[in-house]
Amino acid sequence: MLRLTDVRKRFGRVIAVDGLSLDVAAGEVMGLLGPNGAGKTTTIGMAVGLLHPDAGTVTLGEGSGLGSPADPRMRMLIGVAPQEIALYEAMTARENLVLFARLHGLGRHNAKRRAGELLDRVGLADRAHHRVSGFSGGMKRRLNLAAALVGDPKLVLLDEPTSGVDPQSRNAIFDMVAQLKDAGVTVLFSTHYMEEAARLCDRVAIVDHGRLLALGTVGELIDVHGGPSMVVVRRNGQDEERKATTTPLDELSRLIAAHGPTIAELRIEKPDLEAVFLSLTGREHRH
Amino acid sequence: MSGVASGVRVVLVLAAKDVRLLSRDRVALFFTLVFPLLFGILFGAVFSGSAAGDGPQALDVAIVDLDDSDDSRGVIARLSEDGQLSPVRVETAAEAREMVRTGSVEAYFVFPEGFGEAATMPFGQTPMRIEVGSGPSGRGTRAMLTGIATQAVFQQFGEGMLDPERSRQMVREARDMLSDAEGMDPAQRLAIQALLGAAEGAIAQTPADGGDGGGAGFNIVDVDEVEVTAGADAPVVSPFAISFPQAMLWGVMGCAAVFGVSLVSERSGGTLTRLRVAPIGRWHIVLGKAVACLSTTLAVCAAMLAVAWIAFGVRPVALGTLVVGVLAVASCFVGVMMLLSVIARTEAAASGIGWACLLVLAMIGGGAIPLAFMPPWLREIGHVSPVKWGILAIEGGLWRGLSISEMLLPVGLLVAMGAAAFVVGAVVFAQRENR
Repeated sequence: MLRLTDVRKRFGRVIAVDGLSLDVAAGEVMGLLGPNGAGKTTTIGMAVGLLHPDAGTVTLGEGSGLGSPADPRMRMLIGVAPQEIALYEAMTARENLVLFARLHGLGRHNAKRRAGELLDRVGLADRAHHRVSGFSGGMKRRLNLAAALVGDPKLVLLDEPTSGVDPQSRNAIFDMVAQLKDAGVTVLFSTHYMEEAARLCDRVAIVDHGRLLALGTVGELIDVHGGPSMVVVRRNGQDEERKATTTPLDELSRLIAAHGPTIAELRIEKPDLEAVFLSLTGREHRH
Repeated sequence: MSGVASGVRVVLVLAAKDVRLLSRDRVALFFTLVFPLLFGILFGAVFSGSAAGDGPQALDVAIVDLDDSDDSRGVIARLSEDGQLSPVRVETAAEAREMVRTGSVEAYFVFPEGFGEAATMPFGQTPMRIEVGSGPSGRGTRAMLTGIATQAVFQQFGEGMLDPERSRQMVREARDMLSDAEGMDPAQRLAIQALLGAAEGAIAQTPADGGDGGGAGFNIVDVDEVEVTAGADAPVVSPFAISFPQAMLWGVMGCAAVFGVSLVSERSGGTLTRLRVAPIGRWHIVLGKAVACLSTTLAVCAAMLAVAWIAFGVRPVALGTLVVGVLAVASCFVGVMMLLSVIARTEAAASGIGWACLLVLAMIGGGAIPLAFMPPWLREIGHVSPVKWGILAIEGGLWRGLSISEMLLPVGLLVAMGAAAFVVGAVVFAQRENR
């Protein structure tokens, strides 16, 4: 559904994307995981035609219907929720959705109907006639996502869709992504929240410095990049002891045999996506 | 739906969005409609009773000397002595009126044939006549020019009239004319002889130096004030016909500023991103903004003309010409809007720089201070301002009654300026978005 082949993008001296290749299959939910400044937004920008790659190609569609996102007709396939709230604050929620639906080719009547459906889906039906300027951050995020769906897209690109929202709105957005997945819609979303990627994605692409560092299911990534498991033991009156091992069960047996009666707590910590992320991108602060 | 129809629909949807957003922005509404209306009403009221001669700059006037006598030449020479007037000599009164109508000069003087002859016969039945004309806004101008003309005439002839010897000579010439007049009513002849006798008596008592105020009783000059309009049959023009074109230009500039800044707002607010990822072309976005600006500008102009018509009795002398003028102005400022939209990257900067540019254009184009009160070099610079040509284009149909050929210059310049600005703005916009 979306293929980026060796795309590169530079802004002045800054290399934002450096030879990134990615293939998002139809119906797949792919997470684009990376620290701030990794090139996620630039990658999505190129995927939807907002930015022209300096090198490489971006292809949308399936089968014989392939094309560039620079072609407005190909953009009929996609819906985008930009990282910044891209809504007209002086217009109502419904007016915003009707406008964007009409730009996707819907007639006046169908646009209104579609707007009503989406407002219902994102839980804003009762605020349909309220101006966006009066909405909370979470409500704006949900409406921003709804605006991405007005054209009934085959591919939805969400750029950090849960950034700065309350837990309720975050769950609502998760539910919407799950519904899209159930409906067979392809989703590519960028995030730096591990739990989102682990919870929603079929596959995760970890990027940093504009490069693809790893790509696979969460399990595959952990297996390959997660490193050893950690066996944690705390004996009575003592602090925790942690031991990294690739054979945690053997280590567990050894500890029980050696310290059995004095053990207050014993557990195995398996590597997770965060461990994968940190091992690949490092632990230094990003700005 | 065909591609063209679909494109037009998209453009109209985008334009409707912009008009809706404008309608919800009270500050923008104020600057596009309320402020220009206040401007038109206020300055219309000022024009109604102003004395335009307060300005420090010499007033451009056309002078027609049909008499071509020593006396007329003497008065004309005195007219420009104190620097209040900047005279231009033309051959005919019609030519002078045309210059006023087209804005080349602010007013004119006509010295008709017989002016000099009347000067030598203060007791004759034909006083010296001077015609003074100006545009509808120039009631004060005409009053000022009448005063200047009268002053010049008195300066030219006053000393001579107070000279007893010359006065006696005039009385003698009058007696000769009286004796030559055949068929005159005897009673009238007697009355005039008595008047001349009394005049001789008065002159005999006049001191050799002429005394003070001796000439005050003679009505030696008669100044006819003429208001120049579209033509002899044109109705009297309301002063609001002068102020409203200026005011309309302020409304038009307001529209250009508001929509120019709105494109910057779309960029900074992210909605431009939303539009750009929609399945529409970039030219849809630009055209949508242009159509919104054009339609709003036309609506503002129509509303202001309606107010001028209903509330102040302003009647256009040529509706078709007025429509052409308004369309040209609106087209021009759509281009200006496009240019303003790329002049800066933030709303505050775009608004500040945009209004600063527009204010300069208004100042040098006569949108704030009438061009007549500007120094010549500034008037020359004003030619580059679309405000100057915009005012002229609207006035062309409102009260000047400019012909098609006369409208070609302002309309052509407006369209050319607008097209150039639009192309530059659109190219910069495309380059910025084509990263």
